[in-house]
Amino acid sequence: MSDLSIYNYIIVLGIILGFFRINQLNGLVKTVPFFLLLTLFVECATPLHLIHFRGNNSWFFNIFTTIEFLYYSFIFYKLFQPTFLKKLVAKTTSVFLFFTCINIFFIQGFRKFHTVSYRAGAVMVVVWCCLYFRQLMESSAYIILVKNPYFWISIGLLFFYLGFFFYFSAFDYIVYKKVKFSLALFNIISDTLNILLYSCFVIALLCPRKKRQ
Amino acid sequence: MPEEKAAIIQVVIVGSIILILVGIFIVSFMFLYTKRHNRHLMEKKEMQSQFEQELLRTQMEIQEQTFKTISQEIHDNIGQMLSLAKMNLSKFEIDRDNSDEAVLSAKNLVSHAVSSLRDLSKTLNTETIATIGLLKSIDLELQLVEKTAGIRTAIEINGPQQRLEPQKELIVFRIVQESLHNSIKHAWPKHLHVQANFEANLLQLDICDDGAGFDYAAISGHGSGLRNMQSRSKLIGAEWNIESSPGNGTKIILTIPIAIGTKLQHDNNSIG
Repeated sequence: MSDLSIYNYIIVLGIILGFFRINQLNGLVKTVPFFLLLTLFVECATPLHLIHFRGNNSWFFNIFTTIEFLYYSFIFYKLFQPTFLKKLVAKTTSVFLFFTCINIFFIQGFRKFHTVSYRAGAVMVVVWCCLYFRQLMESSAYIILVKNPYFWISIGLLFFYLGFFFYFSAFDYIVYKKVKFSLALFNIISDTLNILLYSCFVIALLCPRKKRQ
Repeated sequence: MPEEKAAIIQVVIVGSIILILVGIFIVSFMFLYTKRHNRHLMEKKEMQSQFEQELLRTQMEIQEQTFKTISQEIHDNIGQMLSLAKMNLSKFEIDRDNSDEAVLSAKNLVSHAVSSLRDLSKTLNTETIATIGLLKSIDLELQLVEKTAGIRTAIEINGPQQRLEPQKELIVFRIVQESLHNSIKHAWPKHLHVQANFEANLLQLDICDDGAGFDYAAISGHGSGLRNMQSRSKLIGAEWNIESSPGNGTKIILTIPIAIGTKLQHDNNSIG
């Protein structure tokens, strides 16, 4: 476990907190501890060499990141109120899934990280976040952002994918050519953004339950 | 090759920083927007509660004025008539020979008292204002003023009549009532005249008297009645102005916006 980055401990904190407060969480936020559990498994699997297949673990991350995008799409599908936005999420996610499959199986290959479809997914999630912010701003009721768990989840996702976008554009060059300095840079960017993302998830888990009116 | 590496890393770093800054901008904007949005909502709520409080105060003042009018009318008019009738009937007990005249006089007085009581029953309250409308209510108030204060009154309506929202009508009525009673109390006029001019989505009410008048600039800021009228006008989005000078009477001009879609049905709520 010594290979684990700090953000993994934040994930553990989120899981403990999430399951401890599961009855006090709002509908969709209840799914977050389960998602964090899956994430922790994925994060631990690599250092524990559980998923290496012929010396490669990219296939595993290809599957996980695709599930990750599907999960975020599901959250935003549920969060959006206008039907056209729900339809937009459903259609875009279907297109994304199709494109990812094509990319993984025919373009970048199973043994390489699917950076092209990952970037497409990142853009998709950033757009969902912005649309969710717009929905919040259009509300006629009193808005308390800091007590809204979905706002924190959206903030985490927004910064995570904005921060990673350029990195994954140069990912192939940096990782596969094993540029020493670049790998260190990758770790710094990756750790910082992951800490930010999972901290936001933890804050979301701490948000008070919305009272029914 | 090293130059290429450096360039790529530079692009990644600068690009990521730019995108993160975009994210910070979006989130900051969200916070600023919601702060403003919430402040606006609070102000709206505060204004609403202020309006409701003012409405309640207006209703109470109208009621108070009604009670005052009723008690004045009972004391000065009905009470006097009934006392006279009683005196006539007492005379009938003493002098039975001239009984016819005394009974007739008593009968007349009692029937006058009954008629006055009937008029009194029409005295306005907040519900009747909502039912009969603003202009009819002002007209009735003027009739009452004419009867109780002995001042000649008139109402003039120009343009197609439209109705205001009931709460607005109540507040406007109270402003008019307060203006009329201020005139009676301080200006001792011989005539009181109300003019209602309906224009497109606008009602201008002029309340004029030919009384003593006053120097508004000199008392500005002191008269709580005038301040009340001003603040009430503001609350309903109306404009309140006064024209007065010593010896030349007073004219209060109230300009009230009318919400679209409140055109009056000219059946039972219009006068003139």
